[in-house]
Amino acid sequence: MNMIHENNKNTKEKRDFTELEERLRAGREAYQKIPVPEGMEERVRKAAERTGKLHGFRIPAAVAAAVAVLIILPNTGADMAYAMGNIPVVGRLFQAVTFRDYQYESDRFNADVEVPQIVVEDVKKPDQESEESSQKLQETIEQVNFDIDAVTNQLIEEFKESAELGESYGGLEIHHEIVTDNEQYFTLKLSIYQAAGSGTESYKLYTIDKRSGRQVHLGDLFLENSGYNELMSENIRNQMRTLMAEDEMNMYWVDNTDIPEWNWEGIKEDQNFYFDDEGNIVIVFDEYEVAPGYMGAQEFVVEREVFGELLK
Amino acid sequence: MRSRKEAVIRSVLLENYQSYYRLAFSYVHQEADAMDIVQEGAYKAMAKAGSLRDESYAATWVYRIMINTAKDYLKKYERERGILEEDIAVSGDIGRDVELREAVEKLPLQEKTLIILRFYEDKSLAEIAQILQENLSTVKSRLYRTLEKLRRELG
Repeated sequence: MNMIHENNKNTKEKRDFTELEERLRAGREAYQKIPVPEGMEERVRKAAERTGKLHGFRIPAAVAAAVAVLIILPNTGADMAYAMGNIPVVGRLFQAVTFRDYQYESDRFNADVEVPQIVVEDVKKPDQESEESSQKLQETIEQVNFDIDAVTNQLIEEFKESAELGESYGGLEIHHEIVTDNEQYFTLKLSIYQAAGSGTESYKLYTIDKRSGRQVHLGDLFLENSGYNELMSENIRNQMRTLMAEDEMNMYWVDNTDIPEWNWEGIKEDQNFYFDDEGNIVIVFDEYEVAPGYMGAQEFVVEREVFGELLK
Repeated sequence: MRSRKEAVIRSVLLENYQSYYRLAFSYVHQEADAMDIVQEGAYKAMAKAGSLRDESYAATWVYRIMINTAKDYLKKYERERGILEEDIAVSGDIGRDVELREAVEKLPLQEKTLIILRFYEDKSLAEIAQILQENLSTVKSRLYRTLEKLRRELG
């Protein structure tokens, strides 16, 4: 009995950094006293006089070309046979194909990455009505694939850099999963595990509305001023409270009075989510988003009856 | 529209150049190098004005450019010097907590940046997430790990 008590006390102390944080804050004064040389302002002023060329945000031509080729859908016979058995009502087939593989292994560094790209095939010819959504869909898929590519590239580059520098340990794993594929929605989940010493798991979920062809974020699903976020957030907070009451070792950043800043602020418009088979919404949290690392990755199901009326 | 963005960025630069300087100085510990970094960052920020999508984020956007410029500078000149006696003399009052300052100096770049932004520049976690273009949970987890590391260092 006593040992368990001590364990909990240690764990609590381990999670409390107030003393260290105060000590760090005290160092602010010295930092702010670092003298800034006389000439600095003038040099900044001079640099700020220049005007630059305009450049907007655009998918680089090379990437657009590569993506366009994929959309034509090359596939093995086996894949096609399986695919034909799953023709959705809308007449389009959504898939995620592995576009790129990156593997690295050494004593202290490990990477296992596969980068997916979304591919859509029109199984039937699109009719007049869906021309517009067809066009929109193409744009959306290009944008999503571009994003996946950019995100994974950045992670791979960072990994390569740290492997080169040889600092401590490093790991990178990226995998994907199709978590929703029904008449209305297609959702691709990207799982990212990064380790530099200890590891963190995070996610990116992309949801496409098959009917409109648009990418949808959580906020897009609901009526204006519906208050969906507070409603769903409180629902999840209650689930957390129950879990904490059930088991002392469970900890979520809710109702925390020690470090109120760490408290979860609630659902955001672009919160990671997907629809499960029953039409419930599953909220996917990154590690550390709502709880300390030892709690691992967290998902919460919000039942349809909670938010059903607020949907557009 | 472009020139309005430039005007916003210009005023952000003039308002905050001291912060950028101190951050750069914490990386390179050399007055001349730190000044170069800030000037180059200012050029870049102006040149890329068109790509600033939302003016209300101008301050964090510029901060990010400064941090990236400092990193590039380090890479180019391979100079992440340790802190020397002379450096301490130059930087004036070191404060009473030498032990802590040294522990922070020893942190790898990313973690040091986190400590500076959070405790020395008093930025909120949300601002830091914007500056580093990472999501809030990643910032939290990294900060958490850095604090654990510091605590172990300080014994």
